[in-house]
Amino acid sequence: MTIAEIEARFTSLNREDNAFSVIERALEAYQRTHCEVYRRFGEKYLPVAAFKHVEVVTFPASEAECVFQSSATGSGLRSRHFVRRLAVYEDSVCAGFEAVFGEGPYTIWAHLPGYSTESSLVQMLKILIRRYGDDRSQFFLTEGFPGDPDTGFPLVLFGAAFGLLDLAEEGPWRLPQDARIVETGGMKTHRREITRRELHACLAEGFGIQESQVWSEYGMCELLSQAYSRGGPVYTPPPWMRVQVVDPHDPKRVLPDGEPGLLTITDLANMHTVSSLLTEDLGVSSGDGFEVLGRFSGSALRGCNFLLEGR
Amino acid sequence: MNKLVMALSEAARIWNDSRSQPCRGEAVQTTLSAPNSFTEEALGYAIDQQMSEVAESALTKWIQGRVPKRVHRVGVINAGNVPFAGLQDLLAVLICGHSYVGVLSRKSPDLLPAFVQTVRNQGAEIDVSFTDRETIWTQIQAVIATGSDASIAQIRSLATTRGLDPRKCLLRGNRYGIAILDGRETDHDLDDLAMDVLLHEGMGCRNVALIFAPVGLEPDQCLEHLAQMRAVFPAHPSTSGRLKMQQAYLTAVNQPHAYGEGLEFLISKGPPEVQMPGHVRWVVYRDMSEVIHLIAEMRNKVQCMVARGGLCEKLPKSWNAQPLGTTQRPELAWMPDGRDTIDFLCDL
Repeated sequence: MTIAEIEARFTSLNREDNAFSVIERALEAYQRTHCEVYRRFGEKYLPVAAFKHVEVVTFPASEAECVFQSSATGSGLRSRHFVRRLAVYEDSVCAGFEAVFGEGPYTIWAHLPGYSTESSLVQMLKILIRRYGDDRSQFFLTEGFPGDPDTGFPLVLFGAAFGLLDLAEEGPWRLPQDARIVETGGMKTHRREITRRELHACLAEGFGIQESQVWSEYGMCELLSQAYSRGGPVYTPPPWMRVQVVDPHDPKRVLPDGEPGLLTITDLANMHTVSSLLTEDLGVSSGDGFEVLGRFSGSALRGCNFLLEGR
Repeated sequence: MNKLVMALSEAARIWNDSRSQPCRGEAVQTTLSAPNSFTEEALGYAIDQQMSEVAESALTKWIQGRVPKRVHRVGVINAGNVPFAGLQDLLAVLICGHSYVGVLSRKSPDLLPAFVQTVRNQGAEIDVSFTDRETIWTQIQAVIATGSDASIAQIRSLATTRGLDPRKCLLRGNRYGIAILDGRETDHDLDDLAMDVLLHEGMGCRNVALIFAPVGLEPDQCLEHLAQMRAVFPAHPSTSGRLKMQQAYLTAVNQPHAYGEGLEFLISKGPPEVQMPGHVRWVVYRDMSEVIHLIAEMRNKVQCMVARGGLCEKLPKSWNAQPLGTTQRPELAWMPDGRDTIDFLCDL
């Protein structure tokens, strides 16, 4: 199977399709051949930190159509994801969105204070607004909403967790009952860390909607696909993205449902970089989906961590 | 109080008297079979060290005559990443006269109950019980817990739901230790540093995760001492598995690193980023002002700092730097996160 064929068909996979494994193997062989970092690594799941330190590419980095960059970490380093073909990203973003939300149209508002234009999240929302948004869809940084939320189309308000919390506190607001809020993570910025359950309860109260209307999106600079949760803690990845939970002490050991560990992700949309990644997120498998329990760092593994004790 | 202090110190003396004492021996055997990364050598060392701290004089000095405003049932959610990690909290709750309700880590489910039994055998009437993480919330009026930011958020949320006043919650985030070298370390200092880095497989909130070294000082000598330490404290079998992917990663990204035979430890040069247990980061600095700047940025994540004796005196006093080799030998009265547990328990 060629890369062109994979580009053409990866979003049409379904969950039962064993083509996932076929494509996964084909990509692993391709990426081992063409990505020097992955070849030297030799193991299956490349730590996402590699995107901070080296160019993770199967092609000359200068040929990238776009470079996504994460926000700076404590050490000042930023992940860089060299995107060879933006069309692949757009296919993944749109197919993932449609599978969860349908074809729209929607009024899409995006509240991402502090995010740079190189952020993959900003790029994703630009695509969603262009493809599924009505003419009132927009980014906004203002205090308060950019207009009347009752536009005639269902409202989808995307935002980083703490930006949305700040906005909620400026209320109270009363969004239409069919409105949905999609928080995109960022549980820890300028305030103390809170649980996702607390966050969703605060957002539901602050925006005057049912808690079941507060959804979540899971994505990162290093991935070209996203997973969504529909009003609960479980994220469902699209059929071209597989999430497994592994033992942090032995990343080759896949953990069963309910046992907390590190999330590994195979994203077929990452065909031009490396598809199989070891994240820095702690989570558990749950049926066809997964839950995210928090960030997971070297210091978290050194210190004590109840979340790793099982539930 | 005197009777309790005497019972505690006598129990500790019994445990410290001989490694073959039945009460200690059985607890050690069951602990080694639990899902942890303890080795027989490190576990024995930890018990000896902790028990040597539990002396009548040290307990009396620690409490300093302080008394709690009122008696509470205090829940302690124990960590299990290093042996006897929760001993200090158990002792603190008891000598303050509170009731103790503990949740044990499945990594270390036997040491604390076995020690409590030895204390009871000395005739002490202590109110100690152990329960699970779900039911503890119905039994307690205050809580002590340590964990990652995410797990502490979860505990804080549960405590709020259960109506516990935030002033009755002592919640500690996960931390790590830092060693600062200036190139004048003796062989003895470097032996001590090796213990700070590798004991308990690099686990624990006091373990040294970052070594700050001046430009020009290479880690070669340090590597020798890490290897020598491993001859006395062999690595747990899980350590090499954990470090294999790390080593592969460092190779992939061309990051300078070195490792012990059989991947018993890993050391890498780079920015001050904390790595997995058993993997210590060698951070090069130009001058002390750079160290001060770097540490200021991470200060709230650092549990302790160590340096050779002479250098400790030259470091900012607020760092409270201690001599090399002390990270895994904390005094009874040490204050996690700079907070005095006895003060917390007396103010309840």
